[in-house]
Amino acid sequence: MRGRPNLFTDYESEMALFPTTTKRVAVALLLIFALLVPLGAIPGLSFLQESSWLVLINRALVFAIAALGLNLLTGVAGQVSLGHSFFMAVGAYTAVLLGGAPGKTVWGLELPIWIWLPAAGIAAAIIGIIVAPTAVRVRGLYLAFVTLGLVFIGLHLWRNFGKVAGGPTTGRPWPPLEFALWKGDPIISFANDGPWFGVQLTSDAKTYFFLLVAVILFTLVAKNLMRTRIGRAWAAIRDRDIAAEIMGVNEVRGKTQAFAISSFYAGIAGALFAVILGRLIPETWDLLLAVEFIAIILIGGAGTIAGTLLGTFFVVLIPRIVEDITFFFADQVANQGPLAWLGDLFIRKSPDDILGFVSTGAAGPGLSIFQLNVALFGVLIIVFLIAEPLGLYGIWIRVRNYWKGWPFTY
Amino acid sequence: MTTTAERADFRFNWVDSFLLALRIAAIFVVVWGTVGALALGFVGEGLSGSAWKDLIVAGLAQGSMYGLIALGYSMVYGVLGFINFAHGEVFMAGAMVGFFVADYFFTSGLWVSNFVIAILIVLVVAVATSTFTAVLIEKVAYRPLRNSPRLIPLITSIGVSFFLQNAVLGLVGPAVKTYPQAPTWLSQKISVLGLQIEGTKLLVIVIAVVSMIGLWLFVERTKTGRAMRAVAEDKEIAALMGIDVDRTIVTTFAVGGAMAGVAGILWALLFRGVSFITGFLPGIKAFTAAVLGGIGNLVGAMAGGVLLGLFESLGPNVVLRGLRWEIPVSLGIAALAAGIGVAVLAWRRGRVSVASVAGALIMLGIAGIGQWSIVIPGLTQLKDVVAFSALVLVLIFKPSGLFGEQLADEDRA
Repeated sequence: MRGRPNLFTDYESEMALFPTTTKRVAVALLLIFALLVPLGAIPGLSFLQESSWLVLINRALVFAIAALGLNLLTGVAGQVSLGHSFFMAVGAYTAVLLGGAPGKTVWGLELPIWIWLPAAGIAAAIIGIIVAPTAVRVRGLYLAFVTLGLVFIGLHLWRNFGKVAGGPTTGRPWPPLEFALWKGDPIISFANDGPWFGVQLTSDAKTYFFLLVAVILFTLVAKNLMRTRIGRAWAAIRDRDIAAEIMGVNEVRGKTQAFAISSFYAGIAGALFAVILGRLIPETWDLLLAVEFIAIILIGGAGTIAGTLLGTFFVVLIPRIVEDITFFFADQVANQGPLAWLGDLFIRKSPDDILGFVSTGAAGPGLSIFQLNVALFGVLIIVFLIAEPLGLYGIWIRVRNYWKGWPFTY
Repeated sequence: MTTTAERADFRFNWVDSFLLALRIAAIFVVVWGTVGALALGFVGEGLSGSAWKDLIVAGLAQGSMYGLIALGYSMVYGVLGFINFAHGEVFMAGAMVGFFVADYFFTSGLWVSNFVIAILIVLVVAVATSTFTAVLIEKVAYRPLRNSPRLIPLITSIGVSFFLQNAVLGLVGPAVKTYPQAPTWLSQKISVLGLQIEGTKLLVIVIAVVSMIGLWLFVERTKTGRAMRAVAEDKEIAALMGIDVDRTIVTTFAVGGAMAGVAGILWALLFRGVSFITGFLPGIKAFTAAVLGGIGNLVGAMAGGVLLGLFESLGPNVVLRGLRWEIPVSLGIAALAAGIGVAVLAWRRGRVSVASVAGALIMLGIAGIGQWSIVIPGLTQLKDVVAFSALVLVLIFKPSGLFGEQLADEDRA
């Protein structure tokens, strides 16, 4: 037992992954919580077991991998990239080229997952290495625009290479998430319902467990990258590139590593994203997706792992929560519930309703829920950047520090 | 010897070699495409003379519109040092409100009976809307972030952009609003300098040029303009000199917004259709134009806009179509010999920039012997790709733009 919290007597204990007992306990509890989610065993949160929620959570897990990658590049190494969706697309299309079923109009090799998943990451990483030299010459906001150009060039490619990407409006199917040694029957399949160790699980739940393991692995890698030589070099380049070079940090190598590793994360995430959705059109990989990741790391807190994970779940789950709230109020208005007066303010009831700007239908004047979400997304980014530049992580730190010393102020 | 000393100073690492290769490839493609387009023209497979002229006129008109939007980006970047992504939405807001006024005039008959007065009122309304939007954005979103790192206001502006797009969507719906038809005397072709220019396009070019000259006079000749240049140079010193920095920044946004409003009406004259998404791509293109011309440089922004418009209309149809041309073997071998000769000479003199031309010639030689010809699918959709490729190439090879950037030291690329 050491004397007081946060007193580290040697370097090893300070650099440990989980330096305090509280952290160890918290991580263990979080893991148990995560394992219980698809089983519906958590009282009060058993609705998370439903397919519609699990699909969203799976998407959040995939996004977490991509966001961790962007966080390494933008948050730690300081290279602003608006081209993350391009690297994800590279990964996804590599995966479908190697793993997808060949057809009359599309190419595919039907290789097993242990080839196409790493290959997706590696292909994206190679493209990242090719892009990296521009980051050495072009800085800051200019770099953001070069990477933005990648998104548009990529979109043109995906639209026109039907052999790879499928039709521009139909896309093509991705291979299912199943593990096989070679072509033939899979050993473990995550893509169909069935019992595991005597517990009946849906395909969503199985995918969830697969993605959970992947996220934990990638989080550990990111965390370790950040606290070792490579990560410290990145931080030095971010803070002042010239000073970093004078101290012996190789700027070119650092930026190349950052782009390669970040793109690797993006490639893997892109492949998994396509696989869990099953079928994607080329327009998926647009600028909005790239900006979503920038928003995730900024809302979560740039340069922090915990913040990135928090931000991902926040950004991915908020639309669903908004949707639920909207439907709740629409229901209240329709049935004259106790909160109908509040719903009256913004739910559109008839076409000539002036106040109501949210309509529960997809068409018609007024914002649909999807559009409301994009607008809210914009407002959220603004509010967070103005009020809390450190993001959710900053809020968490403040809450934690308040309770650390409670009831004393410091 | 001086050359040896220079060579010793010159650090030529793999990044430079990579960028050099990229530069060679770019020059090669452009040269091949241009020569190919001319060669195909001689054979009679290329574009006809009138098609060329139409492309040039369309490029000029669209380019001058980009130039007007680019002025807003350039001024804001010059003063505050960040890219105002929402500027495209400012432009869209002007065009959108202008539509409602135009539509009202059309139903009341003024649009048909007295087009000039109607379009002038629409212009004033659009300019007022855009100015108001720009100033409001500055007050609400950017002022609280004045002292934060550059990336933060950039992302905020993306947020503002999303919010504005969807707010307009919620207010007016997703349908494309089409401006009423301009009178026929405006759409007739007029012959100017041997070019057959459609009346609307001529009007667009004239309005753009007039606005540009007005802005230039404002920035260079008035007291407020001088204050703006001072704030762009150094905010703190400008404040010490008695300049109200906040007010100057608001003026900058207002003037940029006004230019975007004018551009909104020009867009309406050229394309007629306006929707909530209209502002997005022109906005990004205009930023490209601003960088192309050298950011912070007003003349550069305008010239960059015109250049970008020309690139966009000529690039896919001339350069990329020209790639279909098979390089003759004899020309290929001659180019190969010339290229190797220049490269050897350049290497012995230690001059790298000549080597790039040599490299392009070598590629030409290889392409000639190999009898390459490339047919690129979806040529007509390539506008955006051409614009962004131009941006990427400019940023890599001449980040300060074609006309030089005018920024405070810390903001330079």
